[in-house]
Amino acid sequence: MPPEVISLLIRFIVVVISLSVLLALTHWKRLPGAFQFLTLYLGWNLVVECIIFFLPPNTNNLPLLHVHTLLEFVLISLVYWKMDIFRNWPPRSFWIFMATISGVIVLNSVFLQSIFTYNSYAKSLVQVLLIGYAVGYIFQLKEKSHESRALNMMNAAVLIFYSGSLFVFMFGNVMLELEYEVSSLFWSLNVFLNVLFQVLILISLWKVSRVRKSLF
Amino acid sequence: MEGIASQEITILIASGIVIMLSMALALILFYGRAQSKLLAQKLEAQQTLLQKTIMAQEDERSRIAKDLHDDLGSKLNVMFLYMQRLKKEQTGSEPPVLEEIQEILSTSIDTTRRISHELLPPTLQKFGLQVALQELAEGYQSSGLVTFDLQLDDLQVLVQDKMKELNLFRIFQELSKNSTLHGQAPNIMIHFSHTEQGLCFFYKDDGKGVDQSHLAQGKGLGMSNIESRLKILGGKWDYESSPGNGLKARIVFPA
Repeated sequence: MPPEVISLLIRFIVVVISLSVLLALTHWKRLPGAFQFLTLYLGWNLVVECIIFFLPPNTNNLPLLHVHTLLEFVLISLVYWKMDIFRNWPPRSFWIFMATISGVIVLNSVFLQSIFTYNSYAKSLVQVLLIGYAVGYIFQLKEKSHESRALNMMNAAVLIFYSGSLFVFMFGNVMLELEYEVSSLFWSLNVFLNVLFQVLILISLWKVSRVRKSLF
Repeated sequence: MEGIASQEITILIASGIVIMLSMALALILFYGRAQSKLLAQKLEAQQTLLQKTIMAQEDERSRIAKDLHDDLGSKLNVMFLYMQRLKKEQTGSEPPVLEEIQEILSTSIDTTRRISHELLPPTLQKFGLQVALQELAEGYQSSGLVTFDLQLDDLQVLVQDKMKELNLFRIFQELSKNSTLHGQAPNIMIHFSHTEQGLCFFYKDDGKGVDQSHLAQGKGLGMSNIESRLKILGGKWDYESSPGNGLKARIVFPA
């Protein structure tokens, strides 16, 4: 995919995230808890995009990915916690699990993979866990309602995006060794999946903002 | 050698992406289908339960109506006759308490008859749906707040099955109650015709109406009852209503 198209798609993603955040903020009080945490995640994405935009060209922005991985794990875990997928877990075990994985992500950045390289181990672990959440939610088979339709769409967005980009991030460091055309093809796919993810999130937020009462 | 290695890595990443995406899509499709199936099963179970409840309710109503009329009603009538005899045999001035007992007995007989008729209209049993609907309309019209326009030609001939008559009667009882109580409609129309699709009722009121999206989101017990009774009849209905525009409904069922 030509760099101009990629750049255009990234701008489109920023517009979609901004719309999602705006929509969520205007309907904040009626949003279910899961979508409130999702909005925090989207807000963080917007901050990341802004930082990247204002960084001088050719600056290594990978330290941002390390922070992003940690926040992505924490916020999306909270989204699924609000969606009640951990209801069968023993009390407090969710928080112990969160603290353990967060610790692993930080330790990976401190001792294993420098903050100036891809944190492929931590990122892959987080992606696998997020895919696990999405699959876990699927097997709950909730009854159809306005809220659950929006949640289903959001869950589908998570499942598609993280499943599709898992191998891209897993081999992030290895891909640096590949030919530029090949690696850019994979990163383009990641951008395309991100577009799909953000559009589905925007639709699900729009759906849920039209519901009067919240269940979560 | 390096070229081969990078080719293998490329294939590995590409295969990984394809496999993961395929699995994700398959799961989403599975979920969608399983959820629809679950919902359909749940709706079916609810419908069956509601139909059984309706049938049991009708049986119970019939039993209570019969007991009230044949047992309690008869005993009250006998008591009333004894009371009259006692009054006749009474010499001298009649104690005022006897008059009061007779008054209470008379009211109790009327109340028993009314409850028994409401539970199972004898008109429906004896004269069929057409006359029962006319009687229902007259009951409402006697309040002076609502006027009925009934066109029920051939109904007596075309609908003779007792169970069908009872279910249709209950449907119109429910609709009329909604139109007068919630809709405060001044005019209600019930027209019956025999069409190519089957037997058809056209019901219309000019009451307050209701937002149809609200009806679709959460059906009340009355609406669910109507739908279950229609299912028992093998019929279907469509309706339209909006605030300020009353209700229009068309009920079609096989002859």
